[in-house]
Amino acid sequence: MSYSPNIPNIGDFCAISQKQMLANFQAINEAWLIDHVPLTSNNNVGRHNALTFIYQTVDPVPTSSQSVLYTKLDANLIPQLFFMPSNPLTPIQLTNSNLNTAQTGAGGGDQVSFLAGPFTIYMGFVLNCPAVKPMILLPSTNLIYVGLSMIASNNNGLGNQNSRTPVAINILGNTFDIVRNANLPADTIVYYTAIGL
Amino acid sequence: MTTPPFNPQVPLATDFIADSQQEFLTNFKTISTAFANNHISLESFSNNGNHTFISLLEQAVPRSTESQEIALYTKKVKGQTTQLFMRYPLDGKEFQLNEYQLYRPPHIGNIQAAFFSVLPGGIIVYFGSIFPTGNSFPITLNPAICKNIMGINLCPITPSSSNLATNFQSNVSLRQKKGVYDAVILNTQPLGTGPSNPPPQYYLIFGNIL
Repeated sequence: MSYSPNIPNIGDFCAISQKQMLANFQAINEAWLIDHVPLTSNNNVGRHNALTFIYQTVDPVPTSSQSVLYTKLDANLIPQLFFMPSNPLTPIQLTNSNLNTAQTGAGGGDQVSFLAGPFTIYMGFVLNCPAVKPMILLPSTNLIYVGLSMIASNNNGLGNQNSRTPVAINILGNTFDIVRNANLPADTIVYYTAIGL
Repeated sequence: MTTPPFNPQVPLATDFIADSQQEFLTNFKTISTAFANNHISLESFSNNGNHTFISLLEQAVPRSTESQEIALYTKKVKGQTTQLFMRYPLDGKEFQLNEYQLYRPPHIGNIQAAFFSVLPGGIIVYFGSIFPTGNSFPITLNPAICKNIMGINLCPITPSSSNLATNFQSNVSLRQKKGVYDAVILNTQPLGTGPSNPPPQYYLIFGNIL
């Protein structure tokens, strides 16, 4: 159903304008149904039910008093949410697809979420961590931060072990190695936090 | 303000202008009133069509999406209030973008400066600084809504002249009450070259929300 923005004309007969005006009212009503409370509703007319974005192929350019929320394809051709402030005109990617917060394993380690930027943030732990533990974090990114901490299992402290905080070495792409003091108890847990881009 | 409902079925072919005038007026008024919600008003001389802000009515079920669409909407979350959700194309993965309303719980005197935030998907991040006054000292997790802890990072706060930084040894245990974790306990520093008592430290703790 099409909309005619320039009717009626001054010389139009009512019989002609009637169809055009009817079509316009119906077109307005139909278009408004997308994402909005219907115009025919008695409550909340004008408010949104949801926002559905068709992805953009170029970044919008807001004026100085505006900012824009929109979607655009990422490098993997998946639409993501972006925010474009008016100053500077630098788009900020708000989401990415690297999200997995389902608890896995007995303890629920190895989870992934994201930060605006877009950064992928990994967190998890290794039960019974050996002296050297190779790690592969998925989905794959280039790691720019890795932090480690450790505790003992069964909610017990490490006691009087002559321990050292474990270190991450050989950080390359989405992999690194956890190295810890070999004298620690076998049930040592190492927590990791990593950020990738 | 109550606005007369819109009538998309006017005018009729047999209507005279005089018959339809009131219906036109009602429809134009309804359109104007509806558009004024969240948008620059139609009567404005500039920026017509732009949004001023977005009010989202709570949805009962996830929104359906087509191949090139992403949907943003709100839904009620058990134990919380209405929260923002996003869904990927073709009815893809739906996830919660925000979680909670309070991001700065009360600090505990000069002992703990506590903050928290959330990550998409239901992860709570506690962070701040702690100044223990003894051994087995708790980092209080507030709000205590965490059912699983999967990340702890500790960094000592120390003068540059101290050897604490190079000899810091984390030694923690978890405290659980009624199925949720309410504290991470800083235990005695292991023997060796490090300090025996837990030093002041920054903390960063990740957990899953209930």
